[in-house]
Amino acid sequence: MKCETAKENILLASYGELPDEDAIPLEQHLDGCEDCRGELDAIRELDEHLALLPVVEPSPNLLAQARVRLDEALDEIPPHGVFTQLRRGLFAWIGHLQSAPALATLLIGVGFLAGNFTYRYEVAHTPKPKNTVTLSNPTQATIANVTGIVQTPNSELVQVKYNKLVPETMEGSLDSPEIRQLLLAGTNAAATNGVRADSVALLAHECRAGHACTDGAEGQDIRSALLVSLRYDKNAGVRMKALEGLQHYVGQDQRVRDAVLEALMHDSDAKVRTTAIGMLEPVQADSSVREVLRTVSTQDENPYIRTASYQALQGAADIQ
Amino acid sequence: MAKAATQSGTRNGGKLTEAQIAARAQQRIEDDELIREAQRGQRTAFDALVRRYDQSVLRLALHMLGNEQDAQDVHQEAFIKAYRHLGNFRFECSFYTWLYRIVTNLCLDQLRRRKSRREDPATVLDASGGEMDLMANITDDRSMANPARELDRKVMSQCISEALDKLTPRERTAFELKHYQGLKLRTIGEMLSTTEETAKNTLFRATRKLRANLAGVR
Repeated sequence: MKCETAKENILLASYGELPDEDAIPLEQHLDGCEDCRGELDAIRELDEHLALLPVVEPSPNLLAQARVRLDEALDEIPPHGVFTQLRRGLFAWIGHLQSAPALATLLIGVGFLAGNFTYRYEVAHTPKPKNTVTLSNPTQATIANVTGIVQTPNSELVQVKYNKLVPETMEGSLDSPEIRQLLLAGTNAAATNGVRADSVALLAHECRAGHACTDGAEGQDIRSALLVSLRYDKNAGVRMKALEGLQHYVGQDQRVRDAVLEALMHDSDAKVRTTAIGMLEPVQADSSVREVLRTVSTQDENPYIRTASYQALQGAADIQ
Repeated sequence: MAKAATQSGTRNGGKLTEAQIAARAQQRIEDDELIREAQRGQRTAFDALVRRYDQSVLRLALHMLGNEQDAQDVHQEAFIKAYRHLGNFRFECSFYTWLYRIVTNLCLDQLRRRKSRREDPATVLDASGGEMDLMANITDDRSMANPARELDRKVMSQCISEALDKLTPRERTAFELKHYQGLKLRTIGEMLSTTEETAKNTLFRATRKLRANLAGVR
């Protein structure tokens, strides 16, 4: 141990602040170092000097006087208001939190995990668009037709080839291509009139809403299917639905305009013809439209339709 | 042998007995309860805290400042500060440490003001303004028997006061808290808002200066 360290340790030892592990080395050093023993004596001498200025206990009078002064001063301090109480509460709370780092860490951890699980739960339970689901029912399958019979010679073994109809159900969004394909099939291969009317009504509604009916092969197919229904369907209600579905395309699609004009000229249902007149208003300037309106205004069997056509023709004249 | 020699003398030993440790722990529990009640606005709880520590506060201030009037001022100001800021007490240390920090800061301010005013620190006044003889409080049967020795003691105490006054306020405070109040260096570091190591170095410096200042005495 160096003398410099030993001298510091002598002072620390005299105040009881020297660690136990340093005490023995200090003793050994003091045994062999006269200079440091002198330091020890000097410290003792200082102690003796300082003992001449001891700590004096305050007199009872002084203490009583100080207490009275303090009580008076404290009495003059107004009681703490609500704000002070709140501030104290806040500081106390922060103090508790700071004095409990484990609790603070736990709270942060719990908050993190809760947030994480909440996010995962929300993601897992977010409503997703349903995929198209096809349900097959082979038990109700029926034989559509027999396509071939082959008999093995000189035996009773026969091989029959046939086609089987298996009923299936598909469930999905109106926007899904599979559903639309089935609806298109429903316009011309429906088992009942009701199914056909529903297929046309749904496709017409999709067209009016502008859902994938304007461009692309699928859009053209739907429009074509509605045109076929308008021209050839026997049910006036179905034709009316098809006509309404085509309303937006009268101005831009020549085929649609021709079909509407044809319906105006030849459809057997007065309501269809009346609706067709209204639909032609945006294209009244077209010469073919004016020609048809002129014809209908003079030749239609229904007086109301003749009047309506005439009025529409007058409107077209004003435009011109 | 050397260890026993170094730890003998007038200084306070650093080791506490188990009974002392238990008593301090109990005292701290009681203090914390009183503080919580005082923080809720109970004046009686704060008064109880005052009664527990005001004598120690006054003793410290009196010894550091050597003036009853200044000691009373520090005593009052310290407890008023504690009362106003008790809401900020976060139980990170004992109330005793927290209160002593306030007291030592006030004493430091007072010592600095004295330094800047070049006030005579050796003049010890009592509350009425008269000169106070600190030595008169020491019972010494020999003093009356030997007037010459009594005179020597008075001169010596004057020299010690002057030597202590030559320390910086911070050195004076560290030395006071260690030598006269017997606090641990770690606690002194907390009170002076510094580390234990810095408090230790301040104590070494103060001791060296005191020895140098008192070298020619006797």
